[in-house]
Amino acid sequence: MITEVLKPASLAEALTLKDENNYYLSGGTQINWTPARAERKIKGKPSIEKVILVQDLLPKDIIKQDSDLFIGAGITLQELIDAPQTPEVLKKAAGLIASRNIRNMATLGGNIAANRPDSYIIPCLIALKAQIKITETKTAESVSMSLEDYISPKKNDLKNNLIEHIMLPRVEGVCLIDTALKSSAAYPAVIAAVRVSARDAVVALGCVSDHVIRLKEIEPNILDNSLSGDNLAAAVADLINPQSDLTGSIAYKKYISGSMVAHLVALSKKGA
Amino acid sequence: MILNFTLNNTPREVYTEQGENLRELLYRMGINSLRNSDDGYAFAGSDSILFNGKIVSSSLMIAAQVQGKDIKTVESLSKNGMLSPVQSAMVDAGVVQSAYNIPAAALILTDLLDRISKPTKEDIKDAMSGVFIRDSGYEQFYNAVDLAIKRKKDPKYKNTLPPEFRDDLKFVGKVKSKVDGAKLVKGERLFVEDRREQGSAVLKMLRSPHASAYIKNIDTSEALKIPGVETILTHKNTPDVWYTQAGQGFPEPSPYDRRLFGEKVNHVGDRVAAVVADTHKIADLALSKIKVEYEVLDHVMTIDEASAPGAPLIHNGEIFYRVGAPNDLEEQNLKFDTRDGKIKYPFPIGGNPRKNIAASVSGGIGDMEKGFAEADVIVEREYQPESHIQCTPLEMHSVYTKMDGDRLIMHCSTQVPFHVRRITASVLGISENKIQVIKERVGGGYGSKQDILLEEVCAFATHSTGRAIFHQYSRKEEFESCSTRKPMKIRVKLGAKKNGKLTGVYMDVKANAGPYGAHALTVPMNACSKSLPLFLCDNFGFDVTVFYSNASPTGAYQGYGAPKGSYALQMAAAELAKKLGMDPLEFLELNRVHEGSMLEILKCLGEGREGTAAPAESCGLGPALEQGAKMIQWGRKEKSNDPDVKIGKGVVIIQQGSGLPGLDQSNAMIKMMGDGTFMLFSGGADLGTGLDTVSVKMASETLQTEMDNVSILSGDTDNTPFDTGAYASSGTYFSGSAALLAAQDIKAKILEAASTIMDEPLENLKIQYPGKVVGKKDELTYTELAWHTQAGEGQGQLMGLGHFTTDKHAFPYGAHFAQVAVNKRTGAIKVQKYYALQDAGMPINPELAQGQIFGGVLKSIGHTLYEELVYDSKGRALNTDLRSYGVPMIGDVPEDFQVKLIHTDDPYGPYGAKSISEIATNGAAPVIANAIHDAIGIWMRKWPFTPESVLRELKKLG
Repeated sequence: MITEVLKPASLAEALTLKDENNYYLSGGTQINWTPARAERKIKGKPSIEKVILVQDLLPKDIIKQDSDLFIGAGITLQELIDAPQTPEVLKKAAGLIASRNIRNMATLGGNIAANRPDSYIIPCLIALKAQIKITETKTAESVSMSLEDYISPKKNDLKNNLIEHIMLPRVEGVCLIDTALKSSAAYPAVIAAVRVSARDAVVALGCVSDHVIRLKEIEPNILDNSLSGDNLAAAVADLINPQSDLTGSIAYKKYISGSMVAHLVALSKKGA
Repeated sequence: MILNFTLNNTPREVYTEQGENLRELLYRMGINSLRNSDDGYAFAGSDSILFNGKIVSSSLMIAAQVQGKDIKTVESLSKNGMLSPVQSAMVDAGVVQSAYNIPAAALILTDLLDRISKPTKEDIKDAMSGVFIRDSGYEQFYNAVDLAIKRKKDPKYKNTLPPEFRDDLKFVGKVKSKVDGAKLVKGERLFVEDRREQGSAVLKMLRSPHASAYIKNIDTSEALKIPGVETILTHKNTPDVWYTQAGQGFPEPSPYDRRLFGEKVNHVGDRVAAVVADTHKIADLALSKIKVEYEVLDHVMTIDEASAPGAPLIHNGEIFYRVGAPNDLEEQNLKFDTRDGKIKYPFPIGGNPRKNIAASVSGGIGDMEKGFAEADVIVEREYQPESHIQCTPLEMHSVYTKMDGDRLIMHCSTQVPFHVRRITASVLGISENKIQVIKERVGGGYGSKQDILLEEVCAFATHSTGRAIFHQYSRKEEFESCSTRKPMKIRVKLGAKKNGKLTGVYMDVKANAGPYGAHALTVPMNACSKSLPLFLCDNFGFDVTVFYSNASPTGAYQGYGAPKGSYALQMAAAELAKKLGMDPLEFLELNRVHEGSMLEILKCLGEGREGTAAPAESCGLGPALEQGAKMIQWGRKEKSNDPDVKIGKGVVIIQQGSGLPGLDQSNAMIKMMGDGTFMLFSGGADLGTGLDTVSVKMASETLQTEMDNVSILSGDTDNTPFDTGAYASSGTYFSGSAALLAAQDIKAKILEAASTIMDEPLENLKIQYPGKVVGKKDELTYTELAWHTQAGEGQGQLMGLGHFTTDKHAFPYGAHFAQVAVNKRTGAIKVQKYYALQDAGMPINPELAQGQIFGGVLKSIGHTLYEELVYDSKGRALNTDLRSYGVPMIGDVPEDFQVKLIHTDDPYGPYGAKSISEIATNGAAPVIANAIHDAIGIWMRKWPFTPESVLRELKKLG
């Protein structure tokens, strides 16, 4: 139960309040969500009792600078869907969160910071080569880095920092996302995001590891067409090491990951 | 902290803890409409509010987040008590049934229409995407939005979409606002939780972490020392009374195999102790201080495990029979363990606890051997609707108990108030006149509130402490410690001549009762009794065996055993048709029941008593099949543009009963008020299905007075006459008939009294709308009549009584058609079209009848495709929340979803009506399975049909 709420007047003040024992609270879909609290308990983490309220402090704007798109981390996923500047694939990714109630609360920054393996947003942003701008707690300096780096388990030291903006560079090719669900609002078994252009190919998968992963090993083969169709599906299945859970068995997750990636790659190459 | 924000357009200042949950804060501030359906999972949407103009889930927010913000709830919608256009549209569209989170839906649709003046179907889907509706499905919300748009322009615009029946009637068969619709959609204080009073205590249960164990020692001493702990109940300080939790007619065809608290726990989530304390926080602390030492035992979870030789015994206590003890009882009782307690059978139901058999029965007509010998083609298949599914009512099981002098008052969310009273009296050892059970509005039951799962514990605690106590299940308890349909394995053998005519039909049903035997005999038997009579054949046979296990408890669920029996038999029929090279529809037409058919098989299908053959007096299967075939363009092969996707079609026929003739009983009373209006007292328990509306219509039609002139009180054991309760599809047929008889009784008395007052012979008088008696010379209004009869020289208040029992059956029938698209690459199944054509006799409330069919079908689509409670190796359920369990949401509704009401006139039902709700759950599993076969050639013989299971059948997963 939350017993203390810190209410900074500015982002700068919010940064000064941050320590190991408190957490930023914006929408509330992670901090106050019962399953997230239960997960903390299972992992032996202390329950969240102290929060820093930043719901009115984070930027929510979408700005185009040159060919890059800067999205404020405080934007809700529904606002992201409603914004005309948002790339269609990112709208689709946000829309995969079935509940409008949740999309009205969950923020883009919060979704990334939670770094859940079943995030629809993160695989999509990786495929779009997103960069994130964070403000370091200790120095109050802004730092940019790839989203892929940010979510890496090696970068745990970043987790106390505050995400301010997400930057989407102009990318080529068609980016697509898909998921395997038992029902429309179910937890996903697998999430796949793919972008293929003449110069590069990116494949990101959710739900097959403890965080979203990128399959760099096969991207060159996709680009040079040495892997496609069933061969590509088999290669994806070989590369990943999913766990069996309520959404499906290992065999199913391997099969469906491969099948989805091969299908999305084929569509992306067709320019769907 | 002092919190300032705007609530429903009014600035509010409130003292609160900063971290207080927002939903709880708002409820505390008098916002009744905000409900808890999922303990902070934010899945069901019952907690929806408008936060600065956006719909959000209040249970995910803390108080500090609303400082300076604008909050709106459904309470902002109705001005001066009047419904908004959205609210009135929802009532008249039929979506307001049990309605626990209907106020939230009203707020959401209001927001939708504020954002988009003419929303598309996709817009509506998107708006409703965060709301779980279990009772009416979602389809009628599209109609509700359309109606709301029209009512914004014209508040009196009438809903013209639902069909109406019989021009000669004014109320019956007509679309009329549900009598409790307005107060439900406004979010008034109508549920058990709203009855809590200041100073009342809470009860929380310590539940077993083990699937099977003896409690070697339990120490509550530390917990009892905590200030604010009133009492702690365990097996050491509660009565040694054994009973069944099944809310069935007495004597029940269920073993008495549990007591308040046992020395042995039989499933994960079984009761170990109950703490009564001043607050939840204190109760939780006390629970953590109770020390329990268990002797953990081996456990069995499935039918195969429980029936295996040498399997651990669930009940190894001493066995008793009230009557009809079997000859080998002494042998069965040679060895028993006192720690297991007792099992008492009210009468024999084929149980043998020494083999884990809770009940069994066999029967048949004709000669099975001869039947199969005569067959040219035989199919024999096993089907496994063995998954654990759950009822998942939005309102979790709740009870509030308190003392009034020496009387115990129980506010319950129940389908069976009179059974609650009887069982509670028996457990507490007090007489029934010392207990009043008041059925509040029920936020969804679906069978799980037919059983007495928590009421008797709370009652005992209140009776022994004098404290008023509130107890509500958590969502986890709803999954682990509730009541639901039994998992089954069903072997079907069918034989037919080359021309398709059936020569033999046999079903072998094995069921998993879980740890206790509530409804042990009747649910699995119902799998036969509500499926076999659909076919005409000289040779029928069945065997039913029900096994105890350590899985979650079972009992009743909407449809009882029929959905599983129907799945197996209808699928086997399709498999046989395939083998015969026949069109499945042609096969059904050839073998199905017709109006007037004598159903000999019913002789051996009594519910715990001897049955009798009965005719199908009314049967709408013919027109249902004919219309459905046209709608779905039966015989036309559909093709998808996606090469991975194949499309197929299926058809099944279904049936149910209307109550339990010979077992059920309903009573009603009506009295004329001082101004000529009426008060109707019905023992029936309206679960949100519209039973109160049915009863009022019976009175209004009979007495030719507006429905607004008839008020109803129902389901209150002190103030309404006896009724067996709302189960077995008995509402309209039994409780409705009792209301009709009461109305007819008072009508006769009205005419008699008028004859004296008007000085005209009885035969010259008739009742005429609006509420008057017309003779040849004069007329007398009900108001005038009331003045005369209730004056100082009057003959006394006019009252009518209705008592309904019958031995006549009124079977509802239906034909369901589906078209599915199956993706052979991903295994995904999409239900493109679903047409439910149902003969409910005369539909009394057409819009609510349609809603119940939509809801029943969607529930069973969920059971077929998504829903399953999954256990680990220790018997612990892993997915005890609505999302991971897999309930269907609006995104899962078939693309083209239609319900057609086939009008027949049953000779025994009130105004020709038959039951409507349960039958709707019987079609989805077989019709989808048959359509999948038509699409890709595989037979899905096991629930649920997940993408993974489809891929396995297609041999794509190695």
